[in-house]
Amino acid sequence: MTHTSSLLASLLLWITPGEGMATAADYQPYSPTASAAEVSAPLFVVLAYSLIWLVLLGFVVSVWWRQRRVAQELVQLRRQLQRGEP
Amino acid sequence: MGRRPDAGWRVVFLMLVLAAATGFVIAPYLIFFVAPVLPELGWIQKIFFFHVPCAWAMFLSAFVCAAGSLAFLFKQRRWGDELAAAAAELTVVFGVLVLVTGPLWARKAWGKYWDWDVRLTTVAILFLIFVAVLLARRYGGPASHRIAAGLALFGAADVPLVYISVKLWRTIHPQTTVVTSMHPGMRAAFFVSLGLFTLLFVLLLWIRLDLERSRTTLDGLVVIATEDSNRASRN
Repeated sequence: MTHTSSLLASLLLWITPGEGMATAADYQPYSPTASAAEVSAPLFVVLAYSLIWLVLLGFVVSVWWRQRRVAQELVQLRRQLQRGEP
Repeated sequence: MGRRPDAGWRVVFLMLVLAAATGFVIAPYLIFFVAPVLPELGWIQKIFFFHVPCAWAMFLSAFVCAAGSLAFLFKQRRWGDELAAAAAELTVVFGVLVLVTGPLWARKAWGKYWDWDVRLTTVAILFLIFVAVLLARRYGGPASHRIAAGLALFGAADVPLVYISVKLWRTIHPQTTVVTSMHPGMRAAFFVSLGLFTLLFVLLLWIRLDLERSRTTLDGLVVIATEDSNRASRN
């Protein structure tokens, strides 16, 4: 028990920022660089939005396709079992 | 086929699909036409309305996967294994979305797609752990499902670390207070989007779980067919 407590205490000391270390309070708001200014924000928003729906649609299609394959295998197997085929 | 949902569950499913379809119309309207464009952030800030809900869905999937894994590892519940398999895949899917939308925002905001910042790195680790869960399930051999369940518990343990990382360490990633201190005009868009992604998570988990149950039925029939075949060959 003592070993466990000292281990936990060491772990806490390790993850707690020490003196001189930067913490969340040191957070600096970003300042866009010159290269960032060249990026078209609406284009990136449309790109992000399209990618989200494409990935989700791809996942739905993939589940549907796998479900169809499993259903076909099930029908085939049930037929075999009903006919008593090995 | 697997255990089909009865008529009541089918109605619930259809109602959820209808609600999600409504959300698909309302959420973009609120995001693009109602929520104000803040001068200091500009149009790129619109990504925030999808990025945060995707991250929320990713964390939710990781926790659901861990709950299923716990039920499978310690109670030997078959449904736990099915739930863990379905949720692990969704964690990876939503993880891809987080790791795509975040860098697109970062390119405009920070001038670079990626930074080895503690928040970004812990999310990448979370994503990789769940990729490992899927690989373990697919190629792990006889004990693959148990190995994957153990890995999923490690993955879920990373979620609180991802959340508190911006509070503990110096980071260029916006703080968690960005939600609570949001401009009042943005709240409706944000919470509708959050609700939509939660609904999407439920629907996707539902269909993926249905596939897993069909597979369980198929595996059961294969065992019966093999036993029948062995019996026939002995006689």
